[in-house]
Amino acid sequence: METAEKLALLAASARYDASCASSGSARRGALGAANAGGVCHAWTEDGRCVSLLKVLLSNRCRYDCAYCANRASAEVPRASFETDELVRIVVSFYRRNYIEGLFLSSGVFAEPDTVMERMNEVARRLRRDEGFGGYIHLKAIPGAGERTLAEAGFLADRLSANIELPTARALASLAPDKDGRAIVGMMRSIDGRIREDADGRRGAARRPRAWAPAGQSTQLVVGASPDSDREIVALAGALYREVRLRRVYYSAYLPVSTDPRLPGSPPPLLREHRLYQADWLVRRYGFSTGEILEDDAENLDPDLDPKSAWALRHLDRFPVELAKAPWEELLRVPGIGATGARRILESRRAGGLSLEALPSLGIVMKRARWFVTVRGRAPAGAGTDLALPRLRALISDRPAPRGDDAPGSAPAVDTRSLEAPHPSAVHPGSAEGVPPVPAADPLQLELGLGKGAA
Amino acid sequence: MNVVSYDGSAAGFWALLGLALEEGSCPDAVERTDRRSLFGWRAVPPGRSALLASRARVRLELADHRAPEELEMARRRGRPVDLACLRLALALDRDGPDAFDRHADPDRRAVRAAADAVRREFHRLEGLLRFKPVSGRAWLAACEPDNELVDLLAARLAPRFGSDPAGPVPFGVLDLGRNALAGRGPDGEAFTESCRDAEAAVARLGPRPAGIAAAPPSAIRAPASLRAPGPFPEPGNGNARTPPEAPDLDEDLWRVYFEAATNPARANPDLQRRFVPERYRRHLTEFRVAEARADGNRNGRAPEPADGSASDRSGTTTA
Repeated sequence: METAEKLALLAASARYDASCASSGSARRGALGAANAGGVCHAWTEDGRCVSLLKVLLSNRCRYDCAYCANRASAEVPRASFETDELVRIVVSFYRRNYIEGLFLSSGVFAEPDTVMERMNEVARRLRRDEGFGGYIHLKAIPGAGERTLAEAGFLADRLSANIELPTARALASLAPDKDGRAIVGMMRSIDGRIREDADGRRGAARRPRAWAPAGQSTQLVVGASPDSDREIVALAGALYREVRLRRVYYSAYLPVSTDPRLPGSPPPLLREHRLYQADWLVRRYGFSTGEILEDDAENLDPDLDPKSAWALRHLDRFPVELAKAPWEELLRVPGIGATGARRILESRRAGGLSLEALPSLGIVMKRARWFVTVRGRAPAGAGTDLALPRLRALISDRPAPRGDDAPGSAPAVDTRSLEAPHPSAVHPGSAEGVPPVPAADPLQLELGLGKGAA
Repeated sequence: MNVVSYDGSAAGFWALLGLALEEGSCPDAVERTDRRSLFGWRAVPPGRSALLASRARVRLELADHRAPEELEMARRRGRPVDLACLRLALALDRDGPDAFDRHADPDRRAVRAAADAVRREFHRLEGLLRFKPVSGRAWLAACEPDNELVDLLAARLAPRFGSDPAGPVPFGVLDLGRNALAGRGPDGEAFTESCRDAEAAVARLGPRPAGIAAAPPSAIRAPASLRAPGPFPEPGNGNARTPPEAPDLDEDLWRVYFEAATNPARANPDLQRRFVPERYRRHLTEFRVAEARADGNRNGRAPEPADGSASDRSGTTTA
């Protein structure tokens, strides 16, 4: 098979992996350097950023995961890259500024350790023979040996092991060859080595290169199994806490076969979007996973971003006085992001904060106006008491219905999110105000997460 | 009316700030008399320009360490905000960091908006520049940015070219609108200078080689429908012209990849348009796919799918 045909096949096979970040590492080599901020080099017609050459080393796979295009039973053309062939493409694309580096995954075509060693070989050639200083993201294959994993971490900027499905139950049903505990075990092993590396470099006169300096990530397929957003968010939270993932990626399932174990239609892309918003709140804005879906709600509200939904459940915490509120409290106001919060603090210090100035600080007044005051004054029209449904409609960001999220396919709106404020609410950011981290779910324990599971 | 003019260069801008800080007053208007040139200046006697510029940088750094970088970015804006920069510099000198943090102040807003626009375009072009081999060793990327960016881009992308046995690899970033070229010459020295067109840029980067290095055709074969080389972008305002090019098989390979990486089940061209506005596309290899396909159709060939699994719409990956 010619190189172009292989590339087409092995890139198409890898495109469902949502991860394409090239950030978090600042390595430098004789040929190139990784940029800590990450760079997007192209945007495909699906609107996704292309930062890395994302390919499989091989799409031959022993596993028969029902949701996967490359499953053993799928009748698709099979191909594998030769090491030299792939290295040459990476170097040429990199020089031309098409890519920031390489994302290399693979089907499990042999014993896990053999597969991972083949992937290491590509990375080794790039780093040692070509002096490649660009970004490399390698998939960690559960079951690979410690020595192989150790070398991978020195060669790669980021490692990732995809857990794919949020519960052991779903894995057993759709990916019987995969072992959730082994995947989480691999994550623990990676995290342990990152910690060791950090400890080893502390105080050292000459700091050796960091092991997997951009950390590790994983991906969850959303909608292939009947798992709820609550289960997905809880699992992501546990992974952030316990194995210190840098990112969890969410990929909405797209129908691949008529397998009766799989749903006939894909989930709305809006569901994936809401999960990313919730994830952002947990990673950047100090929300706990317990605050994202409170009470008995199983799914995120499709009509509201998770922060607005949280604010409507906690109206007793508003309005927030922008002239006094601390950073953590500002971040909880719908329509105020990190940049807006920083500018509010700076304007306050410089004596230039006023209601009129808020739009110029980058604050989205459509949402923020209902939740803020400045020195006791509320934005025009926002001081009146509005019925909750009216307020909800005013701050909703739901786009007009499209084909992919038409009624019937969207998760039901959970009306419990419209009920009265949470009785335990005290003060955003304070210890009492943040609900406790939920106890490990039995399903998480099955995956090897939660207290006592490790 | 007190109008001050300068040549639009960096040295001129900083000397202008130095003059205003020294005099403690701001003119009513600032004019750039020569927007095309990146070099030289006429606003202040040449004997004092370097000193004034240097003093301005130090004074503003002391007023607020964030100020010099912000003003330098704003200076590069295609639509000048020089007067707002001057007024902000005077306010910084007077009030210190408070002037920088008064985000609602009209001058601060104008400077911030300009600086942010420059940073956005820099970050975007950092990824969207496309280098082509133009001689045995040299690489050239052409662009038409809204803002003055080539020197920054060249500095950022220099590590990508490294060295070969003959020494540091020469490369250049050419701003076709401003006729400016920045990069590294065959002698290994970094430079930024005016350059009338792409042919001059190629000449600046080194002697023309006997042939363009490319992988052997046996190793790389693109689908026939994608093999037609697209035309080099039309020249911009600078009347630039590019020499005829040899078929570039790695460009074809990139187009193959770009198509294959697209997930048709999630098509969202509006989002793509937002991230890659039309004005950038003329220099992007991947956006010549449509032209190549059209060529194939005109020749009576049905375009071959670049995607080996065109009918496949799976939801995930392996491993």
